[in-house]
Amino acid sequence: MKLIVGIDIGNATTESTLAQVDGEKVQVLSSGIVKTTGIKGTKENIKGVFKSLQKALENCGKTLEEVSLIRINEAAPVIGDVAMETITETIITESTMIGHNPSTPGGIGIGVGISLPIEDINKDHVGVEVIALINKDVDFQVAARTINNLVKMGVNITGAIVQKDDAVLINNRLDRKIPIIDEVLHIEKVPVNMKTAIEVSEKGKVISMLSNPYGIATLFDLTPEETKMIMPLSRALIGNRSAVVIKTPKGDVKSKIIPAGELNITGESKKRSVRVDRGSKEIMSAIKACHPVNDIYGETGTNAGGMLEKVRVVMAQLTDQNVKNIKIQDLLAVDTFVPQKVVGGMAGEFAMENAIGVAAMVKADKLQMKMVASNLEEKLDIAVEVGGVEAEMAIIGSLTTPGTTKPLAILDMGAGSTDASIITKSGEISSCHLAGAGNMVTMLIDRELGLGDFDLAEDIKKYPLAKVESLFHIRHEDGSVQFFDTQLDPGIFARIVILKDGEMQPLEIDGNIEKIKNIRREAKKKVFVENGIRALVRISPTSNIRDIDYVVLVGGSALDFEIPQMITDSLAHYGIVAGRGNIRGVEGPRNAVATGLSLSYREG
Amino acid sequence: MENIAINIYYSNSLKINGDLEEILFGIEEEGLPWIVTESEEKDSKVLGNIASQSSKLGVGIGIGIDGVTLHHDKLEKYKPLFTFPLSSMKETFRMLGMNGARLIKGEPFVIPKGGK
Repeated sequence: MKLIVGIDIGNATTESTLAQVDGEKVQVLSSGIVKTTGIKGTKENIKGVFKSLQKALENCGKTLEEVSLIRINEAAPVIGDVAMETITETIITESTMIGHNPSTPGGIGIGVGISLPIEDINKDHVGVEVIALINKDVDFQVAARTINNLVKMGVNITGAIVQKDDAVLINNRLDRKIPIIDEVLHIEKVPVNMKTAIEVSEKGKVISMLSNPYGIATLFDLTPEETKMIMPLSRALIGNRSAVVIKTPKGDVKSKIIPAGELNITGESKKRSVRVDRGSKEIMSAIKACHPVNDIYGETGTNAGGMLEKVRVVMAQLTDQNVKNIKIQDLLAVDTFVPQKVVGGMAGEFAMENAIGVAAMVKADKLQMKMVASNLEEKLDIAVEVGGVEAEMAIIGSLTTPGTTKPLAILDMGAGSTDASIITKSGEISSCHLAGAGNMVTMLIDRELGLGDFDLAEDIKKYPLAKVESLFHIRHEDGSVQFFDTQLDPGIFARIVILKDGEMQPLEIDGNIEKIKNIRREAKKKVFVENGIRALVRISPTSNIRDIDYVVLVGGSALDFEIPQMITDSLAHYGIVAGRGNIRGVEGPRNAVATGLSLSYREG
Repeated sequence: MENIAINIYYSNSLKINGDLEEILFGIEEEGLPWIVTESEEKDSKVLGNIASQSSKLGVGIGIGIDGVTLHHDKLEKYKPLFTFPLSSMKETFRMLGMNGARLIKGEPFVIPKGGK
C-alpha cells in the first residue's frame, strides 16, 4: 500500500489529490487547493505545490514522509491574451458641446444666443439674445438679481450656463424663467461670444432638439453639408436631459483616424483576409474556414495590426521567446460597444462606439514541467513524475462525476482558454484548446462599462448586484427585497452594490442595475456559449455537435453563478445533457485534473 | 392639508447666522419644500428627532447649540444620519440640505468632509 499525490498546476490555482494505492485499487483520501504561485510552468510554482500538498495532507492527517510519489500534469502548451480596439470614432470639428446630466438643471426649453460672461453683459446688449455664463465666484442671489435687471433693461437673456450646482436656485428667483445648465466644471473652456444653443428637457424626458441633426440645423441655420458635419455631435447628445451646443469657427479639432484594417489568417491549406470592421461573425467564419490555423496577423499600421501585435509582445515576454516566433493559433472575436471620449467635447463626453474584442491563443514552447518536477524532487526528496496530458487527466477526473459515463465530453473553462476533450466508448481521447475564457469576459465588462479597473470588473463578473433602496433595505437584481435591522452605511445609500462575500461594495457607475446586469450576462454568453459550441463541434467525432450526448463543465469559470446555466440552456437545443461537474461527488467542478492524475496511476 | 416637507427645528437659544441658510438652499436646489420651526430644545440630536417625527416625509434637520443633524424617523433618537459642528463650512451646510432631499428622492448622498 502506498500514498500518491496528483498535483495540477493551473493558471490560477494549484490543486492536489491524495490517494492510497493498493494494487489495482486507488482510493482518494483528500484534496487541497491554493493559489498558483508565479506563472504556470516556472520554478515559482513550487511554493504553491508545497502548500497545496500540505493542505491535502492536513485534511486526512497524513505526513509528507508517507508520500511515495507525486504526479504533476503535463500542461497544455497554450497561453492566451485579450485585446480590444474601437472601430468607430466620434470627432467634432466645427462645433463644441456640453452634453451632461446635472442632477438638477433649471427651467425647461430651448434658448439660443451669444455666449457672454454675466459680468460682461451691459446696456450695449439691449435687444441682443444672450446666454449668460456664470462662474463659481458669483453667488446665485447676485446672479438672479443681475439677470432680472438686465432683462428689465431690455437684454434678451435666453439661457444660462452655471459652474456650481445652482440652477434651480437661480431659476426660482427669476422673473422670466430660462433654461439653465449647471455643474459645468470647466466653464472657462466655454468659448465666449459664440452662438450657443441650450436645451433642458422636462423631468423624466430627454432632449429632442439638440439630439436631432435637423434640430441643430434649424437653430444654427446650417447648410446640408454642415448638417452632415454635426451628425456625430447630435448622436453624442442622445439620451441627455440637458445639453449645450456652441458653433465655433472651422477646424478647431483635428484628429487622425486609424483605419480598422484587415486580419490575415493563414491556415494549413487555406488563406483568408477579413476586414475587422465587418464584425465578429465574418472573422469567426473565416477562422473556421481556415482550420487548422497556423498564424493570424493584422495589417501593419492599422488598429487590427496594433491589437495583435500587443498580444504577441505580451506572449513573447511570458514565454521568453522572440516575438517573431509567436504564432497565433486561435482567435475569438466579439462585437461590442464601448464608451469612448468624444474628441472635441468639452466636459469629457462619451459616445458609445463600435469595438471589437479579441482573445488570442498562442502555442508556447513545451512548458517547463520537467524542470518543475526535478526541482520539486530535489526539494522534497520524493519521487516526482510528469503524469500525462492535461486533457486526458481532466476527462478521467470528470468521469468521477455521478451520473456520467463514456462517451463523455468535457468543457474546461478557465481564465485564459476554453479547452474541450472527448472520450469515446473505447477510451480514445481527443482534445482542443480555444482562445477566450474568463479573462475575456472580464475585459468586456471592464471596457463596456468604461471602468478601467480589471479587478473591479472581475468582481462585477463574479458577484450579483443589488440596489440600496433605503437606509434599511436593498433590492437584489432579481427584484427580491432584503431588510436589515441595523442602519446601512450612508456611503452606499441609493447606490448599486456588488454583494461580495456578505459585504456590499458600492459601484461609482451611472446607469441602472439592469444595464450592468445585461452587460455582464451578454459578455458571458458571447464568450462561453460561443466557445462552448465552437469547441464541441471541433472535438465531435462527426464534426456534428448533436452527436455528443453528455458534457461535463469543469474549471474555474464553471464555478460562476450563471455561466453553467447559460451553457446547459444553450446546449439543450442540440439535445445535449450538460451540467457542472461534481468531481468524486464532492469537489464540484474543481480538482478534475489532480483527481485524474492520482486515479490514472498504475503500479509497476 | 398639512404641508409635506422636510422639517427643520432650531433652538431658540441660538443666534442663526447666514451660513445656516445654506441648508434651505440645498433643499431648494434639489426641488423639495421645507418648514422651519423654533423650539425650546437645545440638543441637535433631539431637535432632529422631533423634526423627522413630525415630517410627513420622515426627514428632519435639527439645529442645536451643539451642532446640526440630519435625521430620519426610522433612526434611533441619538443616532442621526449625519452630524456636523456649527463651525462647518458654508458648503457643508448646503450639502446637508441636499442630502436631506436626496434621502427622500433615493439618490446617492454628496458626502461632505468632516462629518460623522
